[in-house]
Amino acid sequence: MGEAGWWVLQRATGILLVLPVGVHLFAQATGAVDLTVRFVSDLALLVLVVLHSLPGLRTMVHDYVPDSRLRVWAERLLLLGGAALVGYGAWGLWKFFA
Amino acid sequence: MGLRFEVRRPAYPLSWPRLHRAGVWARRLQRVSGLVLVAFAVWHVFQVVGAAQDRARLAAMVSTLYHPAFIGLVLAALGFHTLNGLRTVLLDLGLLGSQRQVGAILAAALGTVLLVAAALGWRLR
Amino acid sequence: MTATERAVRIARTASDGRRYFQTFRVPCGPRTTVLDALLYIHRQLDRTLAFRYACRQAMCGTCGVRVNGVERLACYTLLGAVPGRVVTVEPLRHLPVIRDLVVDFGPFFLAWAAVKPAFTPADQSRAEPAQIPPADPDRQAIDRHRECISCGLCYSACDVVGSRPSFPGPAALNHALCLVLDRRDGAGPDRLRAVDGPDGCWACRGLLACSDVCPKGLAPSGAIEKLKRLIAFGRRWDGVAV
Repeated sequence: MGEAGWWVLQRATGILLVLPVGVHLFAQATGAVDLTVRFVSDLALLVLVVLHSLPGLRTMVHDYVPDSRLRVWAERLLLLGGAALVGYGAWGLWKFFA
Repeated sequence: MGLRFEVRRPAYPLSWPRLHRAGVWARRLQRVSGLVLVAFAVWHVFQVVGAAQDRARLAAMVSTLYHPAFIGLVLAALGFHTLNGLRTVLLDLGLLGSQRQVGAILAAALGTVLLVAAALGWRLR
Repeated sequence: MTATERAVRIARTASDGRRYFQTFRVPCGPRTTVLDALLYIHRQLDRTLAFRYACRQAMCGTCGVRVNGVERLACYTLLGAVPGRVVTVEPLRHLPVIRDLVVDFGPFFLAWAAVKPAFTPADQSRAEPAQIPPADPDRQAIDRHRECISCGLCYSACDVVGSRPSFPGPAALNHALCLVLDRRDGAGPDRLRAVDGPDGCWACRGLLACSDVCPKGLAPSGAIEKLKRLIAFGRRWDGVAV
């Protein structure tokens, strides 16, 4: 994905995140949200948080890691970590709400 | 669409700029708040998975989450990151001129303070 | 020091290349500028002081310096308006210092060259010059970014320039946008490709320091955001086609 793609991904996920964050905080504060809705919203929140943080962390890698080969490996590590967190978190959410 | 938002101001007057480099500080805070939120998100995921397996850990997680200091820290990071992020998106889309950013940054900071105050007020009621 | 004097602390270069600060007392009237102070010091106190100036009316961009850490044109900064007890004058950042306040603009213009800065006519067969009337929306979009005087203040103010030498800088990217928006120019797509990439316009972190210091009221940060939109969305934006 080119630089433009990462830029659009970060902006789009940032905007989309507002709704699941709002639902999550509202549900925490009041408990007045259906469990199925909470599960779907929390799953979306997890995915969007990871997708939103990846471009930002990647930008920090670009800014603070001068070696280009290290940068490539750091990016791959970020992608792997993000995918692992989504998988682990989705499984945990399923178990939590089941 | 962006024509009326990007104002060309005249050459600067013979006075001193206000809040010089506010954009630099906003960007630094955006990164710091982002890192706080990433750390919180990773911690929270592990706590939720742990609570799903052992309900006793759920009480511990909730107790930490509802601690006023924790609420203050996380919501301060969330509030500023969201509001400043919104400012960035408006700037990126040309909906807010780059000469109007000092006011927008101050608005984001004020919004964050109000959000944290409201949350702590709710928690400590 | 009398009430109509100010202490002016200037970055100097010794004969062995060592950098140090020297403080002078300079008369300060209601219309005295920093450039007036430098000229006074040069004529009355120290003939070895090195600095640049030309038009003395914020048209040429030659007298760019940092005053109390803020990039300013010396000719268009009132000495009396500078806050604090001491006025500190330093050379611009990110450019090699030749002596005192004089810097080498070589890297600045090398960065300029990296964005294909020359106008390339789209229609080489024209006998008469192509025109865009002032009322044309394309012209209005370009006008907001025109008349850069290459003073280098934005280049100095930008932290990304300092940390990433291959970043062209706000002035070069602002100039690139002017040409990209100009429908008489035939090298728009090539120019967008030149500024694409992690060290091109995408290296801009939206710090906005460039727009803070531009003496011509341009918004280089806005120009960079427009370049990003043109690359990302590749269609009409602000009513202007690529």
